[in-house]
Amino acid sequence: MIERAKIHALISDMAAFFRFRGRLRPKFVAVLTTVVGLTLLSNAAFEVLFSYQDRKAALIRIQHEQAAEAAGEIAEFMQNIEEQLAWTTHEPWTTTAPDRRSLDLWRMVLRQVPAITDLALLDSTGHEQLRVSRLSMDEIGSQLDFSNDPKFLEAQVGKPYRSPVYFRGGSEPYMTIALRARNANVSVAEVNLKFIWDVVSQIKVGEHGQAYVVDGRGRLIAHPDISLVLRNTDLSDLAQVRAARAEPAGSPQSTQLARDTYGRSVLTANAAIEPLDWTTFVELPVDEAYAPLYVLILRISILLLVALLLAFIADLFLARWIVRPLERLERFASRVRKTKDYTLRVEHESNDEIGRLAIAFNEMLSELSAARERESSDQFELARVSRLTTMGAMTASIAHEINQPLAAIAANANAGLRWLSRSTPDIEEVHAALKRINNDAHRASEVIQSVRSIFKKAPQQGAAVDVNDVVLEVLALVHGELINYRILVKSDLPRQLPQVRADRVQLQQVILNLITNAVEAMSSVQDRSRVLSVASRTQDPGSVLITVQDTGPGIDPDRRDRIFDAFFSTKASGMGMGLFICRSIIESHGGRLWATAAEPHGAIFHLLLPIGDSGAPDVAAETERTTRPFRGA
Amino acid sequence: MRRREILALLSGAALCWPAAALSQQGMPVIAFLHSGLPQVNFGIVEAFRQGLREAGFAENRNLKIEFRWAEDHNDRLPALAADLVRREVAVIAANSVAAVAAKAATATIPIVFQSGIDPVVARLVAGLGHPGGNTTGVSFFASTLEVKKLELLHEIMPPAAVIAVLVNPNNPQAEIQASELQAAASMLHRPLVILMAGSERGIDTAFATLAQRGTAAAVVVGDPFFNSRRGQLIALAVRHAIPAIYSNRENVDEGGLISYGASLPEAYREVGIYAGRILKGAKPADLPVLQPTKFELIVNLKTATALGLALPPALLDRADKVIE
Repeated sequence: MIERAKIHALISDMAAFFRFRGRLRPKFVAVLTTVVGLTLLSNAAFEVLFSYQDRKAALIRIQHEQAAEAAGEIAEFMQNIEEQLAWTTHEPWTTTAPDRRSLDLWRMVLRQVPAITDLALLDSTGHEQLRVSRLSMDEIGSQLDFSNDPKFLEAQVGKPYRSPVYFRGGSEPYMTIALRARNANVSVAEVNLKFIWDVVSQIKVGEHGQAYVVDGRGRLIAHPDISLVLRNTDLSDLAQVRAARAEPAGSPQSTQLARDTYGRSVLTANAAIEPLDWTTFVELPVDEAYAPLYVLILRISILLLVALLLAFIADLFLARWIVRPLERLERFASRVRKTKDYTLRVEHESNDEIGRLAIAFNEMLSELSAARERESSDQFELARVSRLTTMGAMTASIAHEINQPLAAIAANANAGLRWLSRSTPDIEEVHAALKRINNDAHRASEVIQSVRSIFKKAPQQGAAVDVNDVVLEVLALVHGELINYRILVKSDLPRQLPQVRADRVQLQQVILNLITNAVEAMSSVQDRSRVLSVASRTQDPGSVLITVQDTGPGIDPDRRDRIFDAFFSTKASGMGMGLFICRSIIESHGGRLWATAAEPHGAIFHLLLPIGDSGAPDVAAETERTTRPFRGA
Repeated sequence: MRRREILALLSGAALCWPAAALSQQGMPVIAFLHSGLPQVNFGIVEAFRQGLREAGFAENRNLKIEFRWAEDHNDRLPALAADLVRREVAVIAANSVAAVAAKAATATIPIVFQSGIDPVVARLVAGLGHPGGNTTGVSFFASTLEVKKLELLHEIMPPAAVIAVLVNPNNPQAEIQASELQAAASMLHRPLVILMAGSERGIDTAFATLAQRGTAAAVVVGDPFFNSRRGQLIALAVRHAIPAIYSNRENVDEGGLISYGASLPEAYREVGIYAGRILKGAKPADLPVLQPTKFELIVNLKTATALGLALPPALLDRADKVIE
């Protein structure tokens, strides 16, 4: 169960993470991942960049060396052929007329140099005197005329003649080399360039790299795949070949990345073959060249991923340790703000900074609660005292006013009795005394009438009042008391309530009285919840009904009719004037106040007020007074 | 004859279904079609297998090879070729005459030849550099080298001695070979006799004729049939004490006097490599015809001594190998 709970917590944490609900968490994640990520990335970038450059430079250098070496070997190979050919220009090769013996000598050259397929001797006039071949018949004195052939003409100038590469039968690469002897004879060799294959195929360039040779026109003349050569492949369109042909020999090579004849991306290096206008290329596929870099990048990517995962996990733990307690504190604070219940206390588990913050928060709440309690009880006391003072003064005044006629009534009654108890009763005197008693009784009645008249004028000062506002003001006033007595307040105060015309202060007084009574009534309740329900609604016709309900002991049905009488109280310390005055006030407003029993416990006080704007309240008040006359004590 | 043909057909039918089964297993099936006899061609078959191995294919491991031998009956080649085409083999490797038959049987299945005949002249390929069709292979220069062989005998023999040339009339190039050699002989001012021998008995008859006419030496032209009859030719040359020159060094190894030409096993190795490359997806049209670059002169000094022949020192100097 615990495990499952943990998993749920983790899942909700993750869900929260992806919703980015909080602000602290994304910030933390951003900072952590940025720091981790940037560190790794910058490290990786530097490493990759430098490795890339180093490797590229190293590979190009190696390839360049390989190309230069291959160029050297090919040059040496050609040089060797020329040197062998040069033998034929020496005496006695060319001095005597060709015979069977010279045939043997020339045949030996073919034996010595496998690359030479045909070997010929032209005399100083350009006529062929001797020819030996691997493929066709050897011949002496054919007299074939080559006097206008470039191989003869150029060799005659004195330099070695090296023909452009040609493809015998459209397939095999050949070149012609011609050398002039001292006596102006010319030795001509047809060289099969397929033999260069031996050189280029021995150059190992990585796994899949290769070396190849192109001639001055961009034709492929040697390649490890001989079939490319035999196909007479034109490479002059390759960028590296174009660049190599355009650049003067010895200048730094500009093209290092190119595509080879298979379309692969390659690192390329080249070297010119002196004295021919051929170029050796050494190329390594980029994929292979940078394979270690790819491994490096892969390694760094994995590392980065792991770091980010760790950051994420760290965030989850951070959420458990910091963010969630903080969020709980935040939720608690907003609950306190909404309910204004300062007795609430936040739970705390740890003794870290957040735990201490919670403790400080609780302490602050305690102090705030105590202050509020003091303040509200002071206020309630004030209200009660002011109410009692007013009541007391008024009651004393009324008592005094009534006491005088009563005293007079008592005195006159005594006098009347005495007049009657005489031997001869003086009827006249008795009559006079009774008349005075009657007068005094009327006076007392008038006093009572005058008390009522105190409230009679009040509604005239009334203004449009929102009953709900008044109720809320009163509730705010007794808030501390409600909390002290742990009373739950249920209020049902619909917004769209018509305003009534009333004296705001008197109405406040009435509602305060009703609520205070309810609070006091419930103070003795221990076995059930103390609920104060205040509701307002529109009542037909044209009235607003306010009800104040408690869950106190309720009113004894026998007494229910008397509670509104003056000087009647169900409370030990009560004066019995509250509800009497309340009813007086309400009736003066043309309304009604009555009580009913609540089910299953408590009492409901109903306060019906006419809606004020029609001017009806006064009329209603008059009607009320006439139909329901004041009932004296 | 009749019996052999029936046997060949039967064996072909018997092999029919396992070949298909192997093909279904994903192991490619290639064919080796040759006009000659299997028993005298171990060397070239082994070289062919070697070439395949170099290209990454080993027989019975990732490759099946169907061998078809016409046993010197070139008239069987079309049927054998047609059978291979029907079985849809992946590649047909063939010697020159067999390649011509295969080429006639299919224009789609790749054919890799070893040809003594000029492949362009024989219309096996459009050109050496770009064969263009479903055929490529190794060209052997055999016909052009015949004059070189004549030249070598000419060098050895006294000026007046008559030299005979043994030609297989069944070879499509027989006439060209004969006329080229005739022309070369007249340039060398050498009397020449051309003898045709297309069968076992024909060879016997030819040698009998040589002996009768007092011919001094013989050029045995490069021909698959003469390759098959190597033993007979060498034995006859010894019996009639006739110095003879051959195309292949194998003849000299086995007692022939002299040979000049490219290595036949080497050519078959290249055929094997090409067959492998085609199996890997290369198109024959893109594979240029290969030509040998090394031409070996092999001399058997023992045979020379037995013949009482004094070979010129210059020739021995030039020889790539002298068997003593």
